[in-house]
Amino acid sequence: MFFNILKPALNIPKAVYDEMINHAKDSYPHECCGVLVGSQHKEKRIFSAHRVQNQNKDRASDRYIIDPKDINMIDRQCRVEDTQILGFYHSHPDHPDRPSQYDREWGQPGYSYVIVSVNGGKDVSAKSWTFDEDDEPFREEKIKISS
Amino acid sequence: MPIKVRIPTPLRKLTNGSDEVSADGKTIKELIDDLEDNFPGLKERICESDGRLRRFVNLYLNDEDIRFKKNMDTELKDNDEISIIPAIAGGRA
Repeated sequence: MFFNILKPALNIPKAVYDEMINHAKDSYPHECCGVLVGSQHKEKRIFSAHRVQNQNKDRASDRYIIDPKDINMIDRQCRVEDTQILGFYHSHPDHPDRPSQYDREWGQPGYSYVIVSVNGGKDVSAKSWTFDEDDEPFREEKIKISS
Repeated sequence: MPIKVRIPTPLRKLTNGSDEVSADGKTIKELIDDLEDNFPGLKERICESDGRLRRFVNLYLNDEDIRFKKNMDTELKDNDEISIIPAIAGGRA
C-alpha cells in the first residue's frame, strides 16, 4: 500500500477526463488524439485536454499523428498561461488501453500518454503511461480523477 | 543576438530543467552549434550525424516549420523564437 502512495500519478479533473472519453467515443472507429496541458511540481496536474485532428488519414483506424503545428500553437498559449504540455492522449478502438509496440517506437521520454480503449464505440477505459529514459519500456502511472 | 529557444519536456534534462534557453546564430545551423556548446548532448537529439534534422524532431521558427523554409540554412533575425517540437504519433498497431 505504501508503495502505491509513492507511485507518480496523473491528476485529471473529471470534466477533462470526460472530454477525452467523449472524444474517443465521437471518433470511433477511428483513433482520436489530443494534447494535455497542465503543470508539474511535485505532481502532474492536468488542467485541459485539447482535441486535435488525427493527421494519419490513411490509417486512422489504428494509428495517429499529431500535427506539430498544433503542438506549437498550444505550446505558445502555454507560455502565456505559465502552463506546459505534459502529455498526449489517443484512443485504441476495439483494443486494450495499453501501449502498442508502435506507441513505444514513437514515444518520447517524460510525457504522459493517456490511452483510451473504446470497445464497440461504447465501453471505455483509460490508462496513462510514461517512461523516463530512451531505453526504458512504458510504465503505468495511476490516473487520479478529481471533481 | 540572443534568440529564445523553447525546449520540450523530453530534452529538459539537457538544459538543467529549463523550458526556455537563449542561443546565438545567424542561421539555424549556427544556433544549434551554439546550443551544443552550452548544453552538450542537445545537438545529437536534434540532428542526425550528417547534420540533417532527425525524423522525430520538428523545428519551428516562430509559426513556420523550417523544413518549409531553408531548413538548417534558414536565416534568423532579432526577436525570432525557435521551438523544438517532438514528433508525436502512435496507435494500436
